Amino acid sequence: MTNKCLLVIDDDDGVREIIQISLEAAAGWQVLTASSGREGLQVAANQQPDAILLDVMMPNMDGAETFRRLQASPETAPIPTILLTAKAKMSEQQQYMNLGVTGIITKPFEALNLVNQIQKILNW
Amino acid sequence: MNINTVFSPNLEPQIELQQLIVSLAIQLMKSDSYTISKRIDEAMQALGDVLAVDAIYILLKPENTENLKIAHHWVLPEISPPDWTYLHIPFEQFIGSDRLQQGKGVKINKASDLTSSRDRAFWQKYQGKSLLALPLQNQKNTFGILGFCSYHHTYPWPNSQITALAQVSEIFSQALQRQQQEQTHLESHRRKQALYNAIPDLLLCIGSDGIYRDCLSARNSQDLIKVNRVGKHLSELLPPEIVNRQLQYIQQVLTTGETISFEQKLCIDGVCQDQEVRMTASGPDEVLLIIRDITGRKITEEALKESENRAALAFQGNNDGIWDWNVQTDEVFFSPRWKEMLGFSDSELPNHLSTWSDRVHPEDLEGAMQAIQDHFDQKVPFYNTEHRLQCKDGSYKWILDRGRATWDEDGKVIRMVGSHTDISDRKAAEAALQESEKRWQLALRGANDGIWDWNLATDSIFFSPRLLEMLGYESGEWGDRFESWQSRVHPDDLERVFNTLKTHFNQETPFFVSEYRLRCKNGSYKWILDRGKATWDEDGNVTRMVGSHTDISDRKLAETQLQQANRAFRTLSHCNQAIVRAQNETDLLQSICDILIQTCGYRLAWIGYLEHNAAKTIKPMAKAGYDAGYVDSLNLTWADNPYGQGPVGKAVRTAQRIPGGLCSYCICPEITQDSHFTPWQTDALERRYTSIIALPLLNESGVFGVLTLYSTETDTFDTEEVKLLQELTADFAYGINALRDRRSLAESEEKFRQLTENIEDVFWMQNVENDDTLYVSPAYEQIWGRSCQSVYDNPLSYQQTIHPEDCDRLNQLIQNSLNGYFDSEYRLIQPDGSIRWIWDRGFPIYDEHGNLYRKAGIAKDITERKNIEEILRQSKDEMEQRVQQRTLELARINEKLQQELRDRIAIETKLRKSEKQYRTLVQNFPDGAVFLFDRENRHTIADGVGLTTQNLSREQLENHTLEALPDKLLTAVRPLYEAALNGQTLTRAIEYRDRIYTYQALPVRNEQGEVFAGMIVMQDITERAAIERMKGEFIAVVSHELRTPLTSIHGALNLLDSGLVQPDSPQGSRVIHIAAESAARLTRLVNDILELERLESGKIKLNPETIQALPLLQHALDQMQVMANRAGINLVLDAADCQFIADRDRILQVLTNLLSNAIKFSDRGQTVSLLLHPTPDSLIFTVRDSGRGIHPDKIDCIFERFHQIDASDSRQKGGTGLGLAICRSIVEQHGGKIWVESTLNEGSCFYFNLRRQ
Repeated sequence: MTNKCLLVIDDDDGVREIIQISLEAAAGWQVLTASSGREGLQVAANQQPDAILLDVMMPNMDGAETFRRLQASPETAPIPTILLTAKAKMSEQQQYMNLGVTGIITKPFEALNLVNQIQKILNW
Repeated sequence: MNINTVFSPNLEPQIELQQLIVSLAIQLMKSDSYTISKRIDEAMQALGDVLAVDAIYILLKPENTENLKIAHHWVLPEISPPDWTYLHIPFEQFIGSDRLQQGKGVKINKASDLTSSRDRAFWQKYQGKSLLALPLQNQKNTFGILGFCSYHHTYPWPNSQITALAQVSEIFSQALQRQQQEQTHLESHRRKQALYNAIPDLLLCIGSDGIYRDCLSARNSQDLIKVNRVGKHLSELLPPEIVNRQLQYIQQVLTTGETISFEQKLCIDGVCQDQEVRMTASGPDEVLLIIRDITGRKITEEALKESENRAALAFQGNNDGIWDWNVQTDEVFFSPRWKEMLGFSDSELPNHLSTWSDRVHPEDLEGAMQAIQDHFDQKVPFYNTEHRLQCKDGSYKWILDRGRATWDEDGKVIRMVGSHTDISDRKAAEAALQESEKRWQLALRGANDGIWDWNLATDSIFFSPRLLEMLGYESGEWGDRFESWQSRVHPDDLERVFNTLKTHFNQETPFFVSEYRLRCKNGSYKWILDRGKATWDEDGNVTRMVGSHTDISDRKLAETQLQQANRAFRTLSHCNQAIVRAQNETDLLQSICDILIQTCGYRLAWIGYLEHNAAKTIKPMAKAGYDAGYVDSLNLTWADNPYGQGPVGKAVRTAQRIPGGLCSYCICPEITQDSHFTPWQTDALERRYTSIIALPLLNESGVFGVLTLYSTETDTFDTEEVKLLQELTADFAYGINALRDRRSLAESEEKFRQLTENIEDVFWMQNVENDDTLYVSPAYEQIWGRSCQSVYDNPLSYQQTIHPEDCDRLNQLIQNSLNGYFDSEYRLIQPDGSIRWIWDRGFPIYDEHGNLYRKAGIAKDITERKNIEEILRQSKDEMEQRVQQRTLELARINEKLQQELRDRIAIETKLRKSEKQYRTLVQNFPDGAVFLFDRENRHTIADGVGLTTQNLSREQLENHTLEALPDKLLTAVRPLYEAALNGQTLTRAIEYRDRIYTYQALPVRNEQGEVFAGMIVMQDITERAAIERMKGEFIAVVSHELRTPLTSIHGALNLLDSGLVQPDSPQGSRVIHIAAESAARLTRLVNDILELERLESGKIKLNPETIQALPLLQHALDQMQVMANRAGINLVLDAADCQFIADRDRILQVLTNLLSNAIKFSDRGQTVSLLLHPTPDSLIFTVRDSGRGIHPDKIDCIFERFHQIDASDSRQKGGTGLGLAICRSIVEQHGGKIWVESTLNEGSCFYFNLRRQ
């Protein structure tokens, strides 16, 4: 469990860092970061993380588009992806679920909580 | 009811005229020649009345003259015609005589109608004004003229009237002709009668049934039967043996056709008569008897026989007286017998010649003396003389004196001896014989008979001069030979005559009677009646025969003619009777056929009508005669095919009228010789039909039928016969048409009668001139309670029925009535005294000339109505009282109503005002429209600004149904209309023409809660939707933007708080830093958001003040200096000073914002410039940088909130993403504009302008 490697794709530096620190501190997982969808695709393809945390609201390529691209590429397709979103409405979450992501986590979150949710979703 | 509306005005007088004509025809037909004249006069009177002419004339032209003579005339009493009535006018000179002679009518109304000057001269002389002349015709020519004239005015002489009057002229022609015929008939009849009377014979007609049909000779004093025979049977009048013998002879005559004669002795009531009867057939079942009283002759014959016997006896007896005369001394010895013969005794007479000579009848003396002398002179061998001698008693006796003289040698007579034979008896007989012979001869001579005397011993015949004269020979021209007679007998009759003679010689018949023809000197044959009687000797040989010839050619002719005329007359008479009496057409046709068979003696007669079908068949309507069934098998047609080539078909096709009112005909005189008759020949011959005639029946429209007659003899149809048949046919046709006319007349009369009899009202008609009632309908009896007859009898009786109070008023009204119309109500008093109210309306009736000549009207019993009126009048008074009361009430109510009305008007005004307000509301309904519609979806109101965006108009929709909407819109909004009218409220958002509308449908209910209309409120929410959408997006973005720093803060603090990260570790510092930054950002963001909201909602009030530009710009630069330094950017100011009015702080905010952006997006070492360009009425501020620039696609949305580029990039650079939106808001609030020009990788220029004032 501790040997998991996650990729966090989020355009906000602060959030990215917090997540990174949170996961490293709370779960000891290795956390890779990408600040844009494009960067995230590259890293995912190269590093093959065990999971991807994907922010939805990003400029240029948003989370949905990034996820489609991930799915489109055979290297990154099998990697389970969890969307991070600030939208709390159930209907909107359902929309994101329809994309085919493995799970959704809403912001803001607590570190330990975050770990639990990830574990629950990915069955770690 | 006006009679003019029921019958056309012209028909009525025509009906009357037609009626008159029919009755004239009937009357004239019934009249005999004596009464015809009278009838004609009456007829003219009647015509004069009906026609309204001034005069009617009949002019006749007797045969062999050329002058017309007035035969009948009628003139209106008031008129004195010109005097030409008493002149004789040559027919040639009469007006239009050529036309009249051709059988056409002449119509003259003015002198210019006349073409010839001669006619005009006549016209002037005549001084007439108007004339209609019609010809009177018989078959040959025009024999007279029927003229109608007027002296006062012109007469139009309509064609219908001329046709009617032509009928009158025909009727008159026929009547006059018949009169003439009858006169001639009568003449010839009288002549015959005179003939018959001259012949003392009795002429009778007996039928085969033994019934007397006629007695042709005048009442004969010698006729034993004094009673009227006609119609009685023989057995009623005659003794049985006579009857039987006559009946036998009748049958014999009818069967053989021979004439037979016989004698009979008829004793009636003790008086006996010897009669010679000659019987001959005078018809198929009728015989003519000529009965001669031969009693006298018989007696004479007896006397003759007697005297002959006596003479013979006398001669044979030897009772003579003797005398002996001494011629020298004149002494005579008379034997006693001689004296006794004279009745003297022997001693009474001296024996002297004087005894003899004194007693010789003076007349005979000379003869006797001469006889004596002749004998003395020896001229005769004996003295033989007959003379009369006077007896003692003075009477004379005839004596046969015979004697012989003796002479001496000198030849001188010395003595004569002789005998007297008393031949007084013989002489008497001779004298009687002579007398009777003289009488006989006289009788015969008086009867114009010739006499013959045949001495069979010497075979010499004496032919009397008259006998020869009868045949045109001179007396004695025949000599005395039998051959003279025999050779002149007609060969066809000779054998018969000889047979009759032989029969008589064999004493089989008492008399020789034969009719035969003898050749006259000129070669023609005369019919002779030869009667004679033979005398036989003891051995039965005929010694002598005496007889007479009667010229019966006239009689034969007369008989034939009589028969013919009889037959013709009877046929005509029967037919005319049938015509007059016929009630219907079928009976008439059958009667005619029957008559033709029975009276005319044809074998078969039938009448057929033409059928106008494709086959043009002829349908048999009636038939009579031998094997009438033959007719049905004929299959006749009038088409031009093999079955239409017989006489019938031909007659139909060639049918035409012939002058004289007759028709054409077609004869097949001998069917075996006519090839056209082949289809029917076999059947016809079987029935012994030999010759056929077919006559077409004509009426005005042409042929309608055909009459066909069959005879068993050839040449039956000679000229006379044909003429008779033509006349018959013309009469039939006329009769049939008259019947049809009568029937249609009867029908129209029936209609009229039904009409008038069944109406409840009294319909009346009067003459204008004399107030005679022409007609009053049966309802009169009901309403007036008096008989209609009473009004006809006494028209004034009607006046007396009127209530005295109303009488004058009514009369006044009638007299004053304009052109005959009047309308009046009056009372009548019924016989029982009860009163009835009558409503009488009268109308004028005008004749063809427009003159008022009749009045008609309808009288209605309005008693009931009057009663009701009375009741009404009473209740009216009551009502008036009540009305007054009510009036007061009503005034009060009226006042109330007025008030209500005023109130209502006020309400209406309010209503109208509120409607206006409503409409104003609707029209000003922002971006929307209101539709108000009724249950038929018809818009009462369709108004509002929103209509324009939908490209609709108020005019388009108001008062139209929802169907006026465009299809796409209609489909979308229809459910709303339906829902509203269903009482449901429904809201829908509808997209149309790229805009979004919200439609709300509402039902409109009345006080009872029923939906009587629907309302739809529509609003254009496109902007709002857009705004909503944008708002949604904004919130999405804002919530994200707010949540993002919160995430960082929360996460950071949580890490620290949970102990996962120590605050004083490097991670801890990092985390704290992140949290602090995020908190600051969050603060800024919230501030900006709130600021923007406040700006845009107008909650922030601007504080405009006059600003110096330059110091402000500098200030802005100063504020940004630190940031610029840090970023390594140059700040440049390029502006001229000027003044403007604005909110200082806000403009400063804008400037600093723009500068901040410029610095953020420039690279190190680049320059950011701040410029100001004044224009006459505004200032343009510019912030230029040479940074990365903006993509052209993003330029438009750069001033929107949280536009993507700005958001993320500004975030990175610490911005909120709202800066430019705030700038825009501020600038636009100042009434300015802000925009940007940019080139990628080269830089951007942000401009905004402000008004100076």
